[in-house]
Amino acid sequence: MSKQFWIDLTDISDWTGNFTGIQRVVYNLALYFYTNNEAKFFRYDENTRRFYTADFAAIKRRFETVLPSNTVKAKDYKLLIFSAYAALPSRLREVVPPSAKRAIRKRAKQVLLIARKIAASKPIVTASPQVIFSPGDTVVVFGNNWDRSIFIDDLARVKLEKGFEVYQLVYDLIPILGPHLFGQELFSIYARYIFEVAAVSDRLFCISRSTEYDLKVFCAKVGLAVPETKVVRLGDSLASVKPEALAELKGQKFVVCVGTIEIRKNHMLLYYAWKEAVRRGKPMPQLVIVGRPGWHTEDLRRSLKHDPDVAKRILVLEHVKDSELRWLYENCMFSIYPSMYEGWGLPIAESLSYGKLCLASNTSSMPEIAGNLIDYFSPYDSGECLEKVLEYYENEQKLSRKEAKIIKHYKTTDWRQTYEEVKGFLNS
Amino acid sequence: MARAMSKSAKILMVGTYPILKPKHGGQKRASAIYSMYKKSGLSVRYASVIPGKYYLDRTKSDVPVSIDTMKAIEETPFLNDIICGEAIFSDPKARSHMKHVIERFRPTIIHIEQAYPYLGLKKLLVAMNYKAKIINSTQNLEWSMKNQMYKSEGMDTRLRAKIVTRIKQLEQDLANDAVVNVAVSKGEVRSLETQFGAKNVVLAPNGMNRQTPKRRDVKKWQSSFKRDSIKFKILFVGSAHTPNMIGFLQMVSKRIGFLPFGTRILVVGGVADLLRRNLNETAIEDVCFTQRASLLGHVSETDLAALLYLSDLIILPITGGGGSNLKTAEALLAHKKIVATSHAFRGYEEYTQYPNILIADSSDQFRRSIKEQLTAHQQEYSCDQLEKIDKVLWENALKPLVEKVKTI
Repeated sequence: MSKQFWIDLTDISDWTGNFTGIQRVVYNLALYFYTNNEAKFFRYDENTRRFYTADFAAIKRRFETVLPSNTVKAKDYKLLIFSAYAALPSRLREVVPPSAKRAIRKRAKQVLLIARKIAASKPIVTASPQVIFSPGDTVVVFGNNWDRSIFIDDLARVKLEKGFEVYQLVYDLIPILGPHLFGQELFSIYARYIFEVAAVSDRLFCISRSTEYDLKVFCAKVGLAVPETKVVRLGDSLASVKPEALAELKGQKFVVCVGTIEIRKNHMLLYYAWKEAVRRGKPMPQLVIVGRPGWHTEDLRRSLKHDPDVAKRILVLEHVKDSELRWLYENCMFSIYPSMYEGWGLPIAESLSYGKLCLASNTSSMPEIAGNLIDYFSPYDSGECLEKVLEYYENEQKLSRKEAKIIKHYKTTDWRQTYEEVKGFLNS
Repeated sequence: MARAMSKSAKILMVGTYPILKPKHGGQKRASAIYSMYKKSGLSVRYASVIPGKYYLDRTKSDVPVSIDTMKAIEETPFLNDIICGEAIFSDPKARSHMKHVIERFRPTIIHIEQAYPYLGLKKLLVAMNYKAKIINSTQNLEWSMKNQMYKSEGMDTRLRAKIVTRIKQLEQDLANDAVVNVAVSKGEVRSLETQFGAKNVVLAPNGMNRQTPKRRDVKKWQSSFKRDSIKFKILFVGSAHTPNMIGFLQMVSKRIGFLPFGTRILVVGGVADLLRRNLNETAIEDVCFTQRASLLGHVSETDLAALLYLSDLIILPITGGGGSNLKTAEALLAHKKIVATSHAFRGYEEYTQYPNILIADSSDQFRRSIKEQLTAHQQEYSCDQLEKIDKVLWENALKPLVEKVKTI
């Protein structure tokens, strides 16, 4: 008799807007189980502290509607209204020239379109039957529910009563290992969450050997027996969007760095490397940082904006569409990823999927992605980082040879492969 | 004849803590002795000189030391019993109080509870030219226990040696002067006899009163456990006596991930506060510790009765300190599964082979035993075993002392 799998969709059931990295993992894996009719789906409700069936088909419809287009945020909505307002001549209101009317109408249409998209992306939470797990069931959690503090307790409680199996996917232990990167409060919340995840799970998936190692060290520290683990490689196949050029970068030599501007991603190192190049009088490629502003980086963002040495050499793009991101990858010289610590490091894999070299940090999971196909530097050594950038910027032949090697040897991981690995472990 | 003598005996018990609402082990034992003397028809009074700030529940016979002495206590941690003992002579307020008590009550026997009062009382009796027979009622071999405690608290070596020598001298002095010496375990009977040459040593082990929980308290705790999904309750009761915490950390540790979800160590008493103070919110094991341990702290006697009734396992991770452990008596009377160190069963050795009781003296063994007890079946005691367990009730444990006192 085959096992009854229950896949948790809590992370994506009540989400509005585009999916984040973890939500894409949940979606992509669940999609295969759904397509092959191999699992049932559930979500957890914090208010009732119960588990309910979840409608994956509805989530899929919403995902297909919203995801391929570009990020729609309340912030954008506000910006558009503001720009429509700003388009009006200052003294007007009574007399609006035809050109202004056209501008207003155009922006109003955009606002309406976006409002419709926001309305369409409301959470898929409908009245659904409660799930009663049975002994012999296998509950699979691909999401990361640390921010729903009682989810894991309630799952453990129900498991204690019913006696089913639990499998979970662990992404990283970074808030525990680097509390200064997030804040002390998250340290204790996350430590308690991972503690119960490891305690309640019969088996665990980890997204890298580095995360698996961190998990084992954690378990030893708190006296937990380590459950059986399996490292699965996440899919890094590319979004099928048409590239859209960024006019200001056309014809330029530039290096791209993708990731939220937060302290852990370590953009400060790039700032210092580019500054040092100015001090040495070395020409450098344009650096394009793609990422929304995150926490603990106010000083850095101020420096990037106002430091005359780098203001023109470093471009920060906060809102980049998938199509523009594709263009950036396809047209950059190479990418750079100076993160201090990662659970995996998706931008490295993405860059390689586009056949582009990524210069990356030599810590945590990052060297696992491509081994010696790419070059590394210490995330704490801006001099070493600068040397690496110059090595490839100043020697395009070397860069071309490196790219050829990447194109020949780097194998993109299809989500089907990830799913097969997951399913194999679930059934073993 | 002996009985006739005891009729006129008047016993003044002197301590450095009150016994009105006993919380820690010392108070509980002194209170039990007081009650037993009284029940036996002896005329008895209890008086103490105390650090007033620390003991708010007291009677008129418990006099707080003066402000100056209190200041000295606060400035020199861990020495409050020595300072209070000396204060009986050196602190005018305390001396006047004790003198007044002696003059009014005119005791024929002075029962010194835990040595320290004798530091000042001996001088006071000489000054008053007052003669009474002395009972040396020990709870520990104080010099040895304090030596361990001061060491673990990091006290300066020379200062520690000086204080410990002084305590040892006090114990020697008291053993010499006493007509009856009281010990709590066989080991301490031997120590009193061999180390101090004590005569007339009587063994009166620690005991406990039978606890009967109230239905209301049981219901309250049951619903609290249900709310927190706690199915298996492990009870650890201990006062804010440093060796209690040290024992727990040595034998159980804060790495309690080996306990499954639904299992909780309920830490009751002052030791919970010590552990809480010892938790570091930036240490992983400390943050996760409270996932499997609830630091309940002080609870009422009726709540404790309910917790004893509802617990599935009682742990006694005692590795240091002298005397015998009141909590061991409490655990035995609860008829629950027990995991304990041999040290915790000092004075109760005859019970170590009983069903439901596992003795473990290494950390690994202790933790393994806890895991075993999670699934072990609770066995019924035979009538004979139940009768023997009842020997730990105060009324039985203190009988030899009362009998002895009646012969003075």
